[in-house]
Amino acid sequence: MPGDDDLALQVRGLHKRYGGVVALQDVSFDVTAGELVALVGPNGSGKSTAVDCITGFIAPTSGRILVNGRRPRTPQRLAWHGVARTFQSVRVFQSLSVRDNVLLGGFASSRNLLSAYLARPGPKARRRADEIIGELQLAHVAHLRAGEVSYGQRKLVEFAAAVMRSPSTLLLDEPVAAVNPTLANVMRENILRLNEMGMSILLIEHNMEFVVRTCPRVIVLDQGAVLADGPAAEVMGRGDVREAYFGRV
Amino acid sequence: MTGFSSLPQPRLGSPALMRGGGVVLVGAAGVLLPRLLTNLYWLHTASTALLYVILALAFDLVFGRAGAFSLGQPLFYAFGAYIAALTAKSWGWNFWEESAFAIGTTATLGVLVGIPSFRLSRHAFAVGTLGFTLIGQLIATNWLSVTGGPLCQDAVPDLRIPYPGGSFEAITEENYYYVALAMAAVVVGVLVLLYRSRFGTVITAVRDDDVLGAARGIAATKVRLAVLGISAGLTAWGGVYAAHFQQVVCPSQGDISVSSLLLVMVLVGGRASTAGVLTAAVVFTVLPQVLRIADSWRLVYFAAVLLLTVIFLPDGVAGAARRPLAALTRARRAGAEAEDARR
Repeated sequence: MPGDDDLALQVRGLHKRYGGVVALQDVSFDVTAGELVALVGPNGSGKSTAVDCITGFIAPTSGRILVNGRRPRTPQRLAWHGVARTFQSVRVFQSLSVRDNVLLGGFASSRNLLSAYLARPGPKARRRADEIIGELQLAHVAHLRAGEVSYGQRKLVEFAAAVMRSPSTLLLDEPVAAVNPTLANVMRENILRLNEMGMSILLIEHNMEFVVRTCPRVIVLDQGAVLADGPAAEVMGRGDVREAYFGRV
Repeated sequence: MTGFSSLPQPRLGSPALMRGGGVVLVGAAGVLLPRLLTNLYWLHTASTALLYVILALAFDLVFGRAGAFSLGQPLFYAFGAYIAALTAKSWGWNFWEESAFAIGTTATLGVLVGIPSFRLSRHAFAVGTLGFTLIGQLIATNWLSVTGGPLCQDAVPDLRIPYPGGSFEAITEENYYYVALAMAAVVVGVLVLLYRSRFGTVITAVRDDDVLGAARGIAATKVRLAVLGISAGLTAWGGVYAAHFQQVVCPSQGDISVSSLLLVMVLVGGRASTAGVLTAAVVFTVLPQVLRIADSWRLVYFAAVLLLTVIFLPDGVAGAARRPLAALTRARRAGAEAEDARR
């Protein structure tokens, strides 16, 4: 069993209610530092609510969350402590260029608040941004406004910005949804490479083929509760998991 | 596009060089204007236009760049004007002392207005700041012992600007024109530097998507508060000038009609376009004088222009002008990339 210090993410007894609707009930799981885990489940199973709670965007009704050993009080603070995320519906700064979006991804890696808000990114940051842009095959659109590029490219821009500052923990909410297979492969290669470099990654995804090919461990949520947690092939072969996805046959 | 990307070196005919040339031309025209205008009325109008350049650019900072529709600008403008009038009359303060005090206190006032107002939704923010403007005007009208109420603070002394070894006193229309020109140049310079800094990029980011900003570690509300503070300070500086230039400060200085005029200037000029807003500020100060529009018709005229702009030029004149320029830049870059690929 890993100790608390080895955990990138610790979720214990997480509950979230919206009035009478239960979005999450008694959700508990851990992600060890350097692990690549998928969080899957049918629509409305509570995956994105869980990520929003973990990253401090919504307050849980009850339960305990520790990300890199810290309680997620605000998303900003969490970002400053090495946690990055992407969103289910792609989010980019539309008026900024692709390159500026990626450079701004490094905002919370600045030395202090003053330099974060005032100092222009140095040559090291620019080199790193160009490197990531190149790896994600975005160099030809780097000068365009992020709002002008295709949906799939915007997904890549959001991903590039999230990894710009080499976060220790990365949460990806449906990174390949509505992305063509070529771009999805680019994304997969980069996810695997970052994980090999030691980044802890929680991947929320509907594309089961992508999940099984990419993640060694899978957690399944159904109706706001953890249905299964274990090795990908084993979990996806379980009857109750298939039933949750495809209904009783 | 606001941002901190490395830009290519200027080439002949490049947008950067054209912009530089434009700045030099506008600057030269500004300096030479009093030599060309012999009529004092038009020189007075030119100074008023420069005052509105300051006010409109300060409004564009908070509205166009940060996306916060502040109707608190008349409050900040009147606050700066009253500070200048009162401190000059009571304590004999000079321009530097008045400016520092007015900018500092009004920036603080802007932050104080922003703290409760930014808790509201984006649209309700406008109503919140409008509330502060109306309260300010009520205070200005009724606090007779300080503001003079409807009788105004009149006989504001001429502007005195000391410098090492002497002092410059603005007495003539030409003096006031050059002071306004210098102040407008300083405001343009400060804002251009701000927009080119990382803070400028952060302001745009917050306007585009504050949820994403939070995920990146940006404290959106603090950024907006800082922007409102800076905008309030710059607006108050315009108020300092206006107090001496008009030599009287009345509660009407803080009237909401100031906001409608600034809104027309920013929307028609083009939100987040320094050149567009600057041009619109000059045009909408000078044009009513040229057309000899009566005061009662002025609002009708502004409303008509605003409606036509919103319908036909939603990004303002600058936005419409930017589209072919952007297409040209993209075509040039695509051509250069294709040539690189061939090599």
